[in-house]
Amino acid sequence: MAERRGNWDKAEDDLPVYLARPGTADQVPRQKYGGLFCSVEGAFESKTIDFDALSVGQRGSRTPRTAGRETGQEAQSPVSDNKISPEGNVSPRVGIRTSGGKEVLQNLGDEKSDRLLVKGGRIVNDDQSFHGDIYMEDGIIKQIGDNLIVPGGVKTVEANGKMVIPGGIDIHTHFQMPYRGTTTVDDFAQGSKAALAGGTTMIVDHVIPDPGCSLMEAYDQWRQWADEKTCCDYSLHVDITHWNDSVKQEVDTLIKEKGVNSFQVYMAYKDYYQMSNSELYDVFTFLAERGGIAEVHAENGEIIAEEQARMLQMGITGPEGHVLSRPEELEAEAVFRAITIASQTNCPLYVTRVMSKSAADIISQARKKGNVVFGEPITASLGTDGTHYWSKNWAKAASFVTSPPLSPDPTTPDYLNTLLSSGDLSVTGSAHCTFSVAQKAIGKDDFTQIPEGLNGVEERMSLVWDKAVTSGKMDENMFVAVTSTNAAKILNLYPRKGRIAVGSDADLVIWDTDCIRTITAKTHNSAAEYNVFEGMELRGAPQVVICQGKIVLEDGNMHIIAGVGRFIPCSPFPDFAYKRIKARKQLAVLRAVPRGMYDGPVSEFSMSRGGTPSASARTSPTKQPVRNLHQSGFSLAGNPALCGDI
Amino acid sequence: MSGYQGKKNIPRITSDRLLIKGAKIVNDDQSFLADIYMEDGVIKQLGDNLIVPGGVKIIEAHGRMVMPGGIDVHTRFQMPDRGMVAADDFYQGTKAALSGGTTMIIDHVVPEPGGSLIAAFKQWREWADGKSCCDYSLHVDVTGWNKGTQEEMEALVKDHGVNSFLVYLAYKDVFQLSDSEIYEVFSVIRDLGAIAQVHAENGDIIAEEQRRILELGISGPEGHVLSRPEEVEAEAVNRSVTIANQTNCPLYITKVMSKSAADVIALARKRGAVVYGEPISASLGTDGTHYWSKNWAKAAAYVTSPPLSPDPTTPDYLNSLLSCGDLQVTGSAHCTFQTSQRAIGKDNFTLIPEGTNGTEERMSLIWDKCVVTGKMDENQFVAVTSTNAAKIFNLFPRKGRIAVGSDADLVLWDPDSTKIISAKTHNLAVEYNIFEGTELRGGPAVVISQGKIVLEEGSLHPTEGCGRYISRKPFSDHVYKRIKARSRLTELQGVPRGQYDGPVCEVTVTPKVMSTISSVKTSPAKQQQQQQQITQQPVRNLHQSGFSLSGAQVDDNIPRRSTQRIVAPPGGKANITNLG
Repeated sequence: MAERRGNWDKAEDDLPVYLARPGTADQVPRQKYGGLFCSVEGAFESKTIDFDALSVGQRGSRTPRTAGRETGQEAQSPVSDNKISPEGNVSPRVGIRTSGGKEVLQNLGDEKSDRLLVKGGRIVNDDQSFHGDIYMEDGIIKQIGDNLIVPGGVKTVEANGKMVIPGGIDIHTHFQMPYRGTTTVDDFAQGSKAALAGGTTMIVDHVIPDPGCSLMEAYDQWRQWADEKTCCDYSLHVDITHWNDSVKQEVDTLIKEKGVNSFQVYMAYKDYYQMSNSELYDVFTFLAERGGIAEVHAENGEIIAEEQARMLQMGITGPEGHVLSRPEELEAEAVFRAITIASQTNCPLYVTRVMSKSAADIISQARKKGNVVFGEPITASLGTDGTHYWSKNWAKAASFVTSPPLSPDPTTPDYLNTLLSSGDLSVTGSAHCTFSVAQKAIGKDDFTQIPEGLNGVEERMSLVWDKAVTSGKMDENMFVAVTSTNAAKILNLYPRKGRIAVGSDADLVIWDTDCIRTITAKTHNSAAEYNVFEGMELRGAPQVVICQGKIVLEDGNMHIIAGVGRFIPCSPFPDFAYKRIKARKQLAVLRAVPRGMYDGPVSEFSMSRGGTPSASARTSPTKQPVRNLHQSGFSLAGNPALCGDI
Repeated sequence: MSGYQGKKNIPRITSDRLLIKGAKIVNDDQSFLADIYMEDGVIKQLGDNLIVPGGVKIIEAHGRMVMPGGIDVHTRFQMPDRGMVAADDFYQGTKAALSGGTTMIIDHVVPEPGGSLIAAFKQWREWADGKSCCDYSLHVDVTGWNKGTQEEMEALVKDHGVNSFLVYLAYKDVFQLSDSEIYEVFSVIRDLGAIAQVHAENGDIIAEEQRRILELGISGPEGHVLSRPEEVEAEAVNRSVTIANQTNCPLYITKVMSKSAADVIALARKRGAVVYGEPISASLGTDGTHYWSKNWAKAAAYVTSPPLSPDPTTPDYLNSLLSCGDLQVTGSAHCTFQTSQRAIGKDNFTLIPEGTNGTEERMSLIWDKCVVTGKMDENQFVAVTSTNAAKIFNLFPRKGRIAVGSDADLVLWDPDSTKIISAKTHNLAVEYNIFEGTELRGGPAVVISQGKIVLEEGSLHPTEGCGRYISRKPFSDHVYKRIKARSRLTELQGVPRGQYDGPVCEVTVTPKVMSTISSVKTSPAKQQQQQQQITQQPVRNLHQSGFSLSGAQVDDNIPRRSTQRIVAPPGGKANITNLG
């Protein structure tokens, strides 16, 4: 940091005028236009609210910040930015400078100052865009507007009319996920670094307790890993991998005391994570009571298990077997089922990893019917398709393995982007979960053994921008909504995160809409050897990333500190989901019909339905050694004979 | 209307020769004017100026419609339920069917869970052979999936002429099968060339909802419909369509009761799934508002599963889908219980025996709701009441068509007659009729079954026990042509690749991150068993796989991946990488 500071000091004399202070506090000569009652030029200056600036794209006539004018007045202030920007264009660039002279003295030369001023940016929230300066201190946005009165010695970032957006929130990551004694190659440090490089300033990771293990211990474990290493703020989802009364208790504690409001259940991974419909009903009912969000991994695990067995029998062992055994119908079926159960229990539902058209269709239909359901397409499903599973290169094909799989239908990404733009899908995650080729090779002879997961945390923002905004499907405000604001609302972090407003966290991104990057594993920040977006050219990238009020990315240079990430607790009953749920709860009171007692004859009957003892003991002929689903996945009793041995 | 040529002393019922003159013959594809001559229960000649032997009984149709007798694809006559038996037995039921213009029924055999399918089938045969007044056939319900079920199904298809099996997604812990079991049943059905029928409701959710509703203190029949919302039906339809698509098995949804379920079927058909939907008389003719009736006995009479939808626009909607072909066949799901039988559930709606009447009203009801209103024409009417059913269940053209060689099951239809349905006049043994007071236009004037007149001028002459069992062959063309083409197309192939020779991560055999503290929570037997090489594991950890790259493992003698059904022995199957 000290070095950087030195550089700026040296360079500050060369600051060109256009980077100077567009929202200048200098006296502007009063000029009178038109008649007596016309507004006086500059009359609104130094007032807190600038109505002019609220209108999108216009800046009023007082202090235009167009490139033309800026280049015209190049003599006023020194230049700080002597680096050549990566794209090498001559359009207005972002400049960062610190004040010198007297102001330095006032500030006692503290280069670790938490004070930062972003000047002349176009602030883009999910509802509107407007011009304004942002002043932040101690990681919090303190002032927004023109001509802010800020203390001296403040580091200033000149945005030059570029977009300033709330930092992205990646709502689905699996950093440092343990897998059969190994962990994913991107730990919290590497993963959050990649996130920041892509303009994401907050991640929400999934805690995955082993079935039968304590949720609380797993949560503490994840907290410990993340606290040590993350470079950006984080929060946690907790996956419920089994269900009983003690888990219920733990979920309750997690919601009330630990700041977790979202819990994922699995409909896939038979005999491991998978839950039965009754368990799902129970979990959803419980979460609805406590104000949690139910997330589902939606795939029909039972059919998948059957299909996997069939594929292996047919001799298909490569990664193409993965997608063949998990057709998109199974995803759509599970989504449909989850929605039905959620609607029965009046619980808000969040479908993680929407990978196929059919699943997305089901979600959008359900939303039309009024269900409270959110869909999360991931970077991979928005950016690439499943044709790569048939690649002759095993390692490449295996790197695409994730569940639900990428759809082999090449029109899928475009379709999902359209639904994301229309609001039928609500948020984007990355489901970033990377394994090295050596780890993937665990399944080289059997696709069911390939560890699942792919990259995407770094590419997410650029990809959505490129696929959805440059193609005209959505505007910049919607872009902010799907990459950040909606996620913050669902997690009940809004407006602390996901919005540029006074009092919000200073997680900002200055977005360069023209920058073009080619994604390649050579340059990415992930530790994986393969990048599923290899060779893709993406337009739009973060130019400056500010996280917790500090500049962490600036012209391609990253300045990150592992371990600065804070855990952000999420409180239950997010308004975004629960306002509707609460209203429905009041409506949905069921009443019995008051009737006289039936006093007619009653037939004799033998046994009561549901009490057939043989029913629960039934087993399948072909699956004799297979464990019955009804036989619960966890056993507290175990084998009494063996208990003694422990 | 009818007269005799000579031999007037011969009782008309025993006459095997019959001539219908001047009929407008209505098949599912066209209508035309012709005479029909039948002998020995089979249509022998069709056309004008037929040369027929003397002494033939003649029915003058005077240009009225003669159509193939209706086929009621779904009845549950004489069904045992907890020691009781449904009020309408095979005699009473088929009599009612004939009086409504239905000349064939297909009943459901419901074996006890865990019981033998064949034994149950024989039991039903015995009951029906003794009593049925019209031809019948049998669906067999697969209420359990265990050793021997597959063989029994095979035997039923090959030796007993059954080509349809029903599985239940509802009735948790009694009839309900899990998704994996259904997948296996469907695979078996596909291989046998039969049709998979499903009772589509999500039993797990229903069980939970029932408990909740009872807890709320709702114990009357309205609890039945509240605990079985139509979404739950639609969900199960969607799931069974998915499983059927996966297994490439033709699917038949019994009792389509709600708009959402019908929509799911229509959508699936648009996507190309081989799926058929069967609305029943009750869902086409009435709605579920009656569950809130103050009269308990009346409300209870409507209890059936899936329940009638409380949405009063449902019947109209289902009739429209039936008319446009999105739903194909109609049944009645006729399964009636006396009020005293229903009263078992007077304090608990979950105990009310389920089923509604409808076999008698079915034809008239569809005529009134669809043809009179202009939704469908007479040909489509024949298709949905008779022909489609015959095609799907491989009875065509013996049944469901008026053609030379077809069975002489005919109905002379009177489109102008009107009738008010009432429990007072119906041919059933129960006190309530769910269509009570409905005025229906259109009804059978004459019904001929097996070449004999059984209904004429309002008088019914059924013969108990004359119904024959009609065996049905597998691989019905209507259904399996497409299935066969698809199974040829869907051959899957692996990608030939060179052997992967890069580094491979070592995998520990133990489950991931098993801290000592957390293991207290897990079943103690779990880890122990692994070490002690006990095959019977209460918990099967997927990650604790038998797969290993590091040679012999301690658990080598444990069957590999025992939670997934793999027929090939471990290591014994061909390695795809050898191809490359």
